[in-house]
Amino acid sequence: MKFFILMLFISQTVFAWTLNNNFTGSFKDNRVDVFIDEGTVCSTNMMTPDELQSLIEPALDNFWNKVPTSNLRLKDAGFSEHIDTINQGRLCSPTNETCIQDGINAGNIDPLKGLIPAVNDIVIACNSNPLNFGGNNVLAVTIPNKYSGKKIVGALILINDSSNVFGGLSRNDQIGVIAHEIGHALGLGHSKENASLMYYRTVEQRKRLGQDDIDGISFLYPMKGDLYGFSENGLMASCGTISMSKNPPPGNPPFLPMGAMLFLMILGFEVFRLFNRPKTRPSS
Amino acid sequence: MLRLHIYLLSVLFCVASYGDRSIASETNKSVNSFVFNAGTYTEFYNQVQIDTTGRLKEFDRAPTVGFGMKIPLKHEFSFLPEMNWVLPRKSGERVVKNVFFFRADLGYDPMEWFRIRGGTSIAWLNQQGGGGEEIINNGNSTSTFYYPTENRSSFNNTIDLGVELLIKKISLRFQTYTFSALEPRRRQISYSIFISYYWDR
Repeated sequence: MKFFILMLFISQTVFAWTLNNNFTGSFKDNRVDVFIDEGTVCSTNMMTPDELQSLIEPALDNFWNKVPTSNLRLKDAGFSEHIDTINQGRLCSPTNETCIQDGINAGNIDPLKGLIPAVNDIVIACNSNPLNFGGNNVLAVTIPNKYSGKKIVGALILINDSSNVFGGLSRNDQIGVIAHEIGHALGLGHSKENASLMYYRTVEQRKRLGQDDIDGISFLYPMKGDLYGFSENGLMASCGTISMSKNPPPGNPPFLPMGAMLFLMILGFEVFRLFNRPKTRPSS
Repeated sequence: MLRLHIYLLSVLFCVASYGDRSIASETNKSVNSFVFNAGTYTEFYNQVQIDTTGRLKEFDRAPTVGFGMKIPLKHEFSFLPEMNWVLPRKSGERVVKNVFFFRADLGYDPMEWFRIRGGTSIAWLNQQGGGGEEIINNGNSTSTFYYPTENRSSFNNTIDLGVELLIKKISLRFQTYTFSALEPRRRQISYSIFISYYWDR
């Protein structure tokens, strides 16, 4: 009996999701389009832009678009206008001055190897510039490279085309890699849990998001009342902000609103009971 | 459709008030029992990966407690409002997760020992970040990743079904919560298993 009670109160859920920035950056709008650059070349990985594009829909619908506690709506938006530097150019974080200067210098020598400009929404392309990747076995990199204040406006996902590792993966693994990179584009960092999509490497089989991924995306893009799935901004939308306080002490659940709602529930029923008291009749 | 949830709750309350008048004259009580629950909560059955081989979560021991009432209605029906709390789960004091359900069920007892429940909930997922950073593997090297410093919540409306075995004042209940019921792509089912105690007034 003691064992049963102990097991009951030990949760097997472990979660340790992180963010890829220290200011909780996320897209301002919950509707984000995902594009493939229409002129991208994946010659080393032997993939056409159409083949690359066919990975997007399952990466969205099998993973990020399946979370009911998040209002995020990702859309496979087809192809975006070609960026000249996207195949060989340098991808830099907006705060990395050294990288930006190197990219500008490289562009002065060969315009196709210059700095890749900031984009809107999420754009995916292949890139053969080894300087963008930490090594040949790195499958892809993602950098949100356009911000408005603390909000992400656009992010670039580059598939490593300086090696053929990505092209050698199974289709399922390729979908998992694209979904993982989209997770970074949305603001999530790595998880230490290997069951999570945001784990730093591919796993034997990737079918769904892990608990970390679900919790992380629900935090960054919270649902505010979905009316059973009919509306993404329904019942609670008029409440406006979902942030309750800036720096609450960790481990302290919201006792006040919880207690207030419980009190109102009990009060309501007691009032209800008062007004529905049976009438007493004089005995004859 | 914006009023659907309020409408459903109103219908449940109207049914409750109608039934209550007829029963109240017999029992002189509108709330005839308070209910205390303890059990487990499994979030998104078969939709959460739990290992590297692709195994999906079928059961979670996330401990859950709750409190509710039983308001008898006409015939074998009863109105069963309750609140459940999936106890906090955390990782290294960095992020704390709480889930609350504010529920309203209509119960039907076809037999003395068996109850069918149907209703709706507002599911409230709250996550509190403790801030900080951590160095995590990033392929060929390591990178610094960050924990949030804010407190954020998600709210969902769920459609709930359950069955309950009643043994005197104790019951065993299997309760499901359907998230995004009207949106097939996002529809997910969570469930709880409860042991409940009915404290009669």
